[in-house]
Amino acid sequence: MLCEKCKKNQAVTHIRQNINGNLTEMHLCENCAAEITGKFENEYSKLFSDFGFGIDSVLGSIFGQDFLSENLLSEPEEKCPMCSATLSQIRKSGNVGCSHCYQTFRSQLMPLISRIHGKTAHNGKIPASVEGKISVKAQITELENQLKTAIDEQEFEKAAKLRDEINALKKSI
Amino acid sequence: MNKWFETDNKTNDRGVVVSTRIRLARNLSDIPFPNKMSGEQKKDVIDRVSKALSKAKFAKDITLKMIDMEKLDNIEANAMAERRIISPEFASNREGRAIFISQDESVAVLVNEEDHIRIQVLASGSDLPVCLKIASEIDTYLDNKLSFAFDETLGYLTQCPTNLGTGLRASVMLHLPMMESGKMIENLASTVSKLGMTVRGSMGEGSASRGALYQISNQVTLGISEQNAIDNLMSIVNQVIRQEENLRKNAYEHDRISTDDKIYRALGLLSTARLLSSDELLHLLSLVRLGASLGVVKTDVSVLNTLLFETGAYSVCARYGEGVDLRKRDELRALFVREKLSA
Repeated sequence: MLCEKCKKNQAVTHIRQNINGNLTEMHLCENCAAEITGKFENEYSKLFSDFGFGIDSVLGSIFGQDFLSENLLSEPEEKCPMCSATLSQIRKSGNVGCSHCYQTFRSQLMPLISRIHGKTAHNGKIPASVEGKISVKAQITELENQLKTAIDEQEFEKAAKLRDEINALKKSI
Repeated sequence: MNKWFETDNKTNDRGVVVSTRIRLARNLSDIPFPNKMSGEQKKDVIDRVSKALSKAKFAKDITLKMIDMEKLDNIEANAMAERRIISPEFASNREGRAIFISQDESVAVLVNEEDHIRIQVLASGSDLPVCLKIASEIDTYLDNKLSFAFDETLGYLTQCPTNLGTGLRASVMLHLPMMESGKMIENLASTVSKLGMTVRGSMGEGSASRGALYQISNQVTLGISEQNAIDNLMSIVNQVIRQEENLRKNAYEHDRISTDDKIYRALGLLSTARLLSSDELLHLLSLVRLGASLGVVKTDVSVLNTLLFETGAYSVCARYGEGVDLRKRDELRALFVREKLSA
């Protein structure tokens, strides 16, 4: 599709303006998009020119949607303490910097992950080293429930015992 | 020793299924992903994997030998890509990369590709459960020594979020000449994409197909177990196989003589031609493969596969030496094909 403004370049984006309830939509090339959006010029051209994997890729458009609004309004960017990647670097390359980035940028990455996979919780192989921890965590949750019931029923002796058990398990992981 | 594609696993669906592949993406938790790694860190990962695998022996006596990609030349590396062991990207950018590979090249651990570690198992015919079992055994072994990056919610952590969860990509290469000529591939692709899978042409760049070869693979890796992912894939693949087989049967019953004619002509050209381009070879080979599955000609699966995976431009150059121009390549390719068919 050709850009609706200059009618020369390939349209790469789709802009929607809402002025006093009047909705207009346009398919634009990178240059015209930058021009029209005026004050967002830098962000826009950056958004498109820096995309390592092409704006028309599925992942690209998913990243674009997720990060556009946040990025335009953001302050100096947060960096991952392990690899110093920023969210815009991740957006540009389509690649996450390190395993710790998934902690650092979890809330921003989750909508994207959910859109890619349709689900957000792992349901496959678990490494043996982690499997133990997970079962201990499940045990702790179970004991905490029992503790709550014990307190509700004013069985304080039982509650104290449960509390000690929970603390011991927490220490073990 | 024979390469993986020269083994005929005698699966019932081998008239349509050319090969299967399993790949697991894994990363070390204390080192940034490959897009953020220094040269030193790349060496460090190679060293750690090398140490972990040095005395390892897996089921069926599989041992893995290291190949330092930096020590390979462009032609050898790209010939490996033509044999499906590595991607053309991995072949072109060899710095800081290594591969640990079994003798028949069916099992490989790729280091510093898109993830620190990719465990790959290839098989001729459809053999996903066996491939997964081998890959999983190597995964468990390596995890014990290296401890992979894992998150309770997101599963195995990967450089690209599209691989999160199991990190498993399973794919099946299918020969679909009848569905292709019936223009049914587009329809298939759109159906399959709704089920979290994808269809791609499997020879050549992008989605363009050569030789009527297509690859179906899973896309979703989070929230689905390894077993379910390959079960889903196989149920789609089995439907595609049935459809292709029905079309073949109908075409054959409808006009047997013209189908036979095309197949024999293709075999005749392949066995006598003095110049063969890669495109022409793939086209003719597709007809002969069809003929073999219909029982018209008796060409072995192992020969068909060898002609498919070892006749690319780089494979021809690697076999006959560097500096071979296009015309000479076509001549050498034709010679190789004649030798294989008459053997």
